[in-house]
Amino acid sequence: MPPIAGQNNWSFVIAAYAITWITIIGYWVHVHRALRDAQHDLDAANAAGAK
Amino acid sequence: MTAPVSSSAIPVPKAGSWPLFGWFTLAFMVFSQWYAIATSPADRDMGDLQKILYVHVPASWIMSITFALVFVYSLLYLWKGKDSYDLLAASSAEVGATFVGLTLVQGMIWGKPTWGVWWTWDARLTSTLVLFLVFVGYLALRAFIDEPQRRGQWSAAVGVLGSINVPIVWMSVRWWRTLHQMQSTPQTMDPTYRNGLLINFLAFTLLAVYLIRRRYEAAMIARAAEMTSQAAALGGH
Repeated sequence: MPPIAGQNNWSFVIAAYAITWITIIGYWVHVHRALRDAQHDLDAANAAGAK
Repeated sequence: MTAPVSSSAIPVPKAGSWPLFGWFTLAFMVFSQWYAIATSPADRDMGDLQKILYVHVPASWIMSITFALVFVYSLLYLWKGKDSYDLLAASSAEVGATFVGLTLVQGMIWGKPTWGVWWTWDARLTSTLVLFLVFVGYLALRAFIDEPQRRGQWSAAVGVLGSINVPIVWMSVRWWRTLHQMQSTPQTMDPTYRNGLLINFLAFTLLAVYLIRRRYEAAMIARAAEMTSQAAALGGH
């Protein structure tokens, strides 16, 4: 193991947490957009079927 | 947040209290990560880099459970032929691919100060990359096939075969000489770090449950919209 314990590695720690939250929020938004778009398509299909 | 599903002949899952569960999960994740960072002293060998453990190991755990779900739902689809199993497998695969990608990037960030390189063709890293590529392929395959039954059958076959790679990823550090350390589990850890890891395991698991459930809900609504459109088109002729 290289002598890394005494070094300041906070930039790597911050980068790891930042990429984690970017991924989580990004995927969260993707899922909710998919929900919104699917609901929109279903409403449009139901409206077309009712005509 | 999702609007309520309108009346339709095709049953679709309701949002219910899932939105509330999602916000609770996000808040719990923030707390879990804060708790882990605040209560863990710098490690003797790794120093503060040890704190990456609390997001890297739970992300790889999610990778394992999502692909186990892909395996189970794919087999159930091949056996029973129910659409819902196909969509559950696909939803789990999408979440799994996201988390395996995240695990790889977190590992690179941890590897650079620890090993001196961002990437090495180590058995653990390579098998994880193969898993990622297989499931990116799985999702691409689904995008290319329009006919639902054929899409379900092909992707179930890829899902079953691809998930077989998960135990290889898990055992790679035991079967081969690797730069990557052996698995960190609550049993192999110093108690000082254990609670932080356990609470983050729980937080990531809740997040995966939420994301898979909502992705499945979106897929079921989309399928209902598609079938309603087809029924309307046929009725119009």
